[in-house]
Amino acid sequence: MSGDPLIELIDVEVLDEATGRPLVRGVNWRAVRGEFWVIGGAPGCGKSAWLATAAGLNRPGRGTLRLFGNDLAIASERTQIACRRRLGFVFAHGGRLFNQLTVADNIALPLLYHEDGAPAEWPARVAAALARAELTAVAHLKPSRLTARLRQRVALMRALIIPTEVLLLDEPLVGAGRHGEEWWLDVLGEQQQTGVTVVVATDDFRPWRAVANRWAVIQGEQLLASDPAGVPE
Amino acid sequence: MSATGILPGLTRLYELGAFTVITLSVLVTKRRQARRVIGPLVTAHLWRAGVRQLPMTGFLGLALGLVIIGQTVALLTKVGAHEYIGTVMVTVVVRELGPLLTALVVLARSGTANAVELGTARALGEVEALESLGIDPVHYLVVPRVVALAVSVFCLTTYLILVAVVSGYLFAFLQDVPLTPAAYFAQLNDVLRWQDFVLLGLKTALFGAVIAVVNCYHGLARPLQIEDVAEVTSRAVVESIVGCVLVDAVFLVGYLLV
Repeated sequence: MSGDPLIELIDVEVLDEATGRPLVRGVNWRAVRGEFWVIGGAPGCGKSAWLATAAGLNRPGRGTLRLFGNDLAIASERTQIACRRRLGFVFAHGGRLFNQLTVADNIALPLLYHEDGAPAEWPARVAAALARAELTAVAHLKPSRLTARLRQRVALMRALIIPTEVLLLDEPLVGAGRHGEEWWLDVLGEQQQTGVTVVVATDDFRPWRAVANRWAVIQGEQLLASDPAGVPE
Repeated sequence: MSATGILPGLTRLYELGAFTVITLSVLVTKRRQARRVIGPLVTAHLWRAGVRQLPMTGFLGLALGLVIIGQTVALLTKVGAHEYIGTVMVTVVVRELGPLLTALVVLARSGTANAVELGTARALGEVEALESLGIDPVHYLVVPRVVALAVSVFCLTTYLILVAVVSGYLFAFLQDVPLTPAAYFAQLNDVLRWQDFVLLGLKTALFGAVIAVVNCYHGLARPLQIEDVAEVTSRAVVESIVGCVLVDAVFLVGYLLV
């Protein structure tokens, strides 16, 4: 895999959003088209903050973050929004769904807001996403009625309803169960085959060995390339 | 007030001003964007802040008619000054009590709900989720509330004033005040000027906007934990009331000048 980096971090310092304390320092990392990255590390090492920083959601303490070649620190609002539309993000622990909206409306929101594609196709696209996530029967429910496992699937479909080039996921397999793990690996494998770059933050490398091809671990405030067992190279 | 109390107050005022400018800028620059999402949100907030407050506002209009107009009419008639009924009515109900009372109803029923909703959304990370989807949180969460509350306070105030005017006359009639409906409404017509309508519209829309902006600011402006929501809501209520009174004071000067 080669080509221009879709995400590039140059000497980036990742901060804890709440306290402003540096969690990971001197990060030099890039992801290109079609890569499947797994970023590991012990709980509390800063994986989630690192992922949010790589997605441009958290401001780095220092260094340069480039999304699709654009330096986010100096990019216009229009460019930043255009970058975010090319990038999907799935938050941990239930995916941070919008509790006032139904499951179907959560998935449809990015489509309606950005008016992506022809309006006549939107219901079919939402229905297809619901069917792929095995959520058709609960489409009318509010997220609070679902288990965290299903909420996480809604969050994935919300991130994928507009075609993305990079998909970042924070601990997607927590509480998924054996069937759930297979489902996630299937869906993410499909995404990778269509050329989407996938970046997963996790504290367990084992489920990802069949699909991932790049590995790194956060250890001692550093992001280090690693083998599939999580041992730094 | 000590210097340590003034500085945070000024900082809050500055932040609130900046939040207001950002909201206005988004309101203008994104007015044509995402109408399929923002339109239904405005309708939903109009329903909650406006239509659903009609019974409570009607009840307060009746109470205002009884307390202010009924009592005043009876009192003025006793001293033979019932030709001032229209003046009292316009000054007290149309210019002052009607807008302020309506703003308090909307603040209590809808403004606080906004602060709780947005504070909870902030604490649960929904704001970051919106940003991750390329959705401007101010456009999605704040703009519909500002538009809906501005329109709601204006419409509800008009409704409250109409109820108060009619019920006030009914109470006066029940007290055998020698005043015909034609004379009563003629007095109102004589006292009301076109500036009253313009200033009433501006003032009530501003009350609604102040309530919405202050509550949204407290819900969204800084990272919150779920346990902080109650505190920011109560702070938002106090600052909304202060904001409305300050706007009222500015309009009082306006009334004196025109």
